[in-house]
Amino acid sequence: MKRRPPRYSAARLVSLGARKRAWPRAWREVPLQDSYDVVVIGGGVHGLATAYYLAANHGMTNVAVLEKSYLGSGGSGRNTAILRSNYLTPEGVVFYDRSLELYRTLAVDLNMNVMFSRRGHITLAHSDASLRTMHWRAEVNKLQGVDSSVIGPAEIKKLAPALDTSSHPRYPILGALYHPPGGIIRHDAVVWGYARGADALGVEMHQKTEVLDIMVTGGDGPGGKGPGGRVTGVRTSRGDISAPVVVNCTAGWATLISDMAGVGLPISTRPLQAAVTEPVKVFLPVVVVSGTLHVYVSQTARGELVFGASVDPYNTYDIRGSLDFAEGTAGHLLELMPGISRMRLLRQWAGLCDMTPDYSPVMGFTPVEGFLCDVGWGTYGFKAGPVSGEQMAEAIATQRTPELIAPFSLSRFERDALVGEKGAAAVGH
Amino acid sequence: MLIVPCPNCGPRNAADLRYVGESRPRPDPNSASAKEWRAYLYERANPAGLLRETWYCRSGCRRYFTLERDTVTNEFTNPPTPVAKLGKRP
Amino acid sequence: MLTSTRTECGSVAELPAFESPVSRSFVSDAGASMEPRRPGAALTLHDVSVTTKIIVRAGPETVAGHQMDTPFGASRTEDGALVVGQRPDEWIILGPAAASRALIDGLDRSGHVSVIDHTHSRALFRLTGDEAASVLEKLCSLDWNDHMTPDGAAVSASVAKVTCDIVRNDLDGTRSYLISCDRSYGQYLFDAILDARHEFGVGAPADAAG
Ligand SMILES: Cc1cc2nc3c(=O)[nH]c(=O)nc-3n(C[C@H](O)[C@H](O)[C@H](O)COP(=O)(O)OP(=O)(O)OC[C@H]3O[C@@H](n4cnc5c(N)ncnc54)[C@H](O)[C@@H]3O)c2cc1C
Ligand SMILES: [Zn+2]
Repeated sequence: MKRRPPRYSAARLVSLGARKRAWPRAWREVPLQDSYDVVVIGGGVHGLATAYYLAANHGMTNVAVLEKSYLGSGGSGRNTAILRSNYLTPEGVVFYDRSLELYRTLAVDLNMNVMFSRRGHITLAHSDASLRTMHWRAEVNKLQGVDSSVIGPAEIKKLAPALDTSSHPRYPILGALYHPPGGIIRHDAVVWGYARGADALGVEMHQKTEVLDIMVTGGDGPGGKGPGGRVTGVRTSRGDISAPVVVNCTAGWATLISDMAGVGLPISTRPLQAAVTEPVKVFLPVVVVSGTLHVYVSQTARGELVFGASVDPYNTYDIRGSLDFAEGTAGHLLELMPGISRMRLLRQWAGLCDMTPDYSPVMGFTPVEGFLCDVGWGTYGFKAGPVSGEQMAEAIATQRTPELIAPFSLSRFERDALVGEKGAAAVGH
Repeated sequence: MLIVPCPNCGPRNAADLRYVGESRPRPDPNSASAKEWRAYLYERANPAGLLRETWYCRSGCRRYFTLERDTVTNEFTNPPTPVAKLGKRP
Repeated sequence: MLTSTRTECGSVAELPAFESPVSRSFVSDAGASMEPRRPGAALTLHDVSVTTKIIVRAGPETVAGHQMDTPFGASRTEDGALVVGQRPDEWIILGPAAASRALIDGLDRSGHVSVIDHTHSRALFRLTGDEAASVLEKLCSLDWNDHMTPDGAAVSASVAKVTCDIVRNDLDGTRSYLISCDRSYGQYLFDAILDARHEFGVGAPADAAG
């Protein structure tokens, strides 16, 4: 029987209030030990889910999640929270669909309202070429049992009346890929839910604990690191920790961590920006993506429009927003929905994304024994949090690569067996 | 926006250029092993710090060039003095 | 009749194209006949696409490059034609067909040299007036200050997101810019400049080919 974290409920609020007791902390703060069975680097959704499923599914609780800042300070607290499984490759579709399946019951599993709103997701096509890709995706999706189909302008207008479906715009809307199970979620709640769930099972989370180096012996590279080596532990800003298994879940910082173990990755770090408008009455019931116009948008439960584009055009670890993004993306949004021209922008921000050449992740074992990666999440990794945690936990516990993530192994680049998802992931995250 | 010091045109908005990426030596295709070649194709150093990278000045001089930039501060090392001498022919 | 593109490029002197027999303004009548918003506004936008435009590319080691005698970023006038050092190893000759022809006829074609008539493939506008720089500033990120881009300066940059070649070519001491872009973007760019002029009162005279 899994131990579940205490329930957030009105009854509990009243009872604690009546007894003048403080609301308990969501997770413990415990001293850092000098050894663990598994050290997970990175306190985003991937690191926390991995730790949670290690404990929940495999009973491995001597696990620490090390986070250099606060939990959810990376992409997991900055994304636009779009969940979907209408990918392009069969490998991608089954994988992301398993994640959606886990997301569906997550609120119950974690005793936390994660506000998963399965409102439907449409990807617009403005050219014959993109319409062809939509048909391709729809067929791949259907084959895997994923609800996905191509619809025309009349149906699009019904789903999202605010869209300009006339033939006047520069890029008229010719059709769309409609994916009813897609939607949005409250990303912070997911992060906190996993943290609370893992904590209840005995996993430790250590914030403000930065990994500075990874100890490896017997490898081919300098200092005994690199292929053929074996992990023995990590050096942190708060002292050394010995551990036979170290998992890299650091997204935008992934190559810095892998370098510490002597493992090269096919990853470049790019910022991705997003912005949010003032809240207005609900008028946009579905998530809308346009690859041609490089924009995607959804309306939150609060009524704000959250929108974004593709990654910034050059590598950097700097996450300042740019006027170019706000101006350009707002312009494209107005081409889709001219009616919102008077809405005001509330704020904009950016997060780091770990881009791979084929827009698919890098998961599982590496040439260094005991060093695993769950990275390369680019602009699309939030939706994959649950399935990645589940599969990585299984890999660690069984010492075997689960079938679902085998296509995403680092070795695919040596075999030229890339899993090309650009057509389904470059803009619509 | 990032301002890129084109050695020909002078400072330009990054949007006026195309980012080609990390510049790395290309192994000789005749003698490189498959492993070396794939490492060249896919692996990236992606440092948080100094990076040598290639840019293409698509809206300006239409030349490729290599610059060094700090990926944390976005500062370019020794920005070159532009070749262009703007004005009437001297 | 020449058939292959290659031949056309290689022996451009045979082409009668420099007379530009079919060249005409493609900016619609509606766009070209815009009147100044403010009467007497000293800011005009002319569609001068009919101007002969010849692009000369010549490698650094070629004689032709020296014959152009204009460094990158600069421009000069010869016999009524404007020779512009638009890019390293690339020049644009703007002006009356006869003058342009005289210039390229004397070119040494040995080495990597190409001479192509772009009269029909490029749109060309002239923006004139004291406030021309303010209009450009709204559309382009470059510095249009006299200090940075004095008379004669040649630059390439995106204007209203269209890649343009721009030469500052003052007329009798009045600030003036020649702006060219691919023909298919011409109407859009013309409209974008008109749109940007609003607060400055630029007009497009009815005789747009001025
Ligand atoms: C603007 C934006 C919009 C997005 N939209 C979507 C979307 O709609 N749908 C979707 O599915 N995905 C989206 N994504 C992508 C998604 O956010 C990420 O892929 C996902 O959150 C990655 O999660 P993670 O746990 O792997 O990494 P992160 O959440 O980035 O966590 C990595 C953590 O590692 C920590 N760390 C780094 N170095 C060290 C160190 N040396 N020691 C200790 N800790 C360290 C960091 O502080 C960070 O907290 C978006 C991303 C952004 C930026
Ligand atoms: Zn340049």
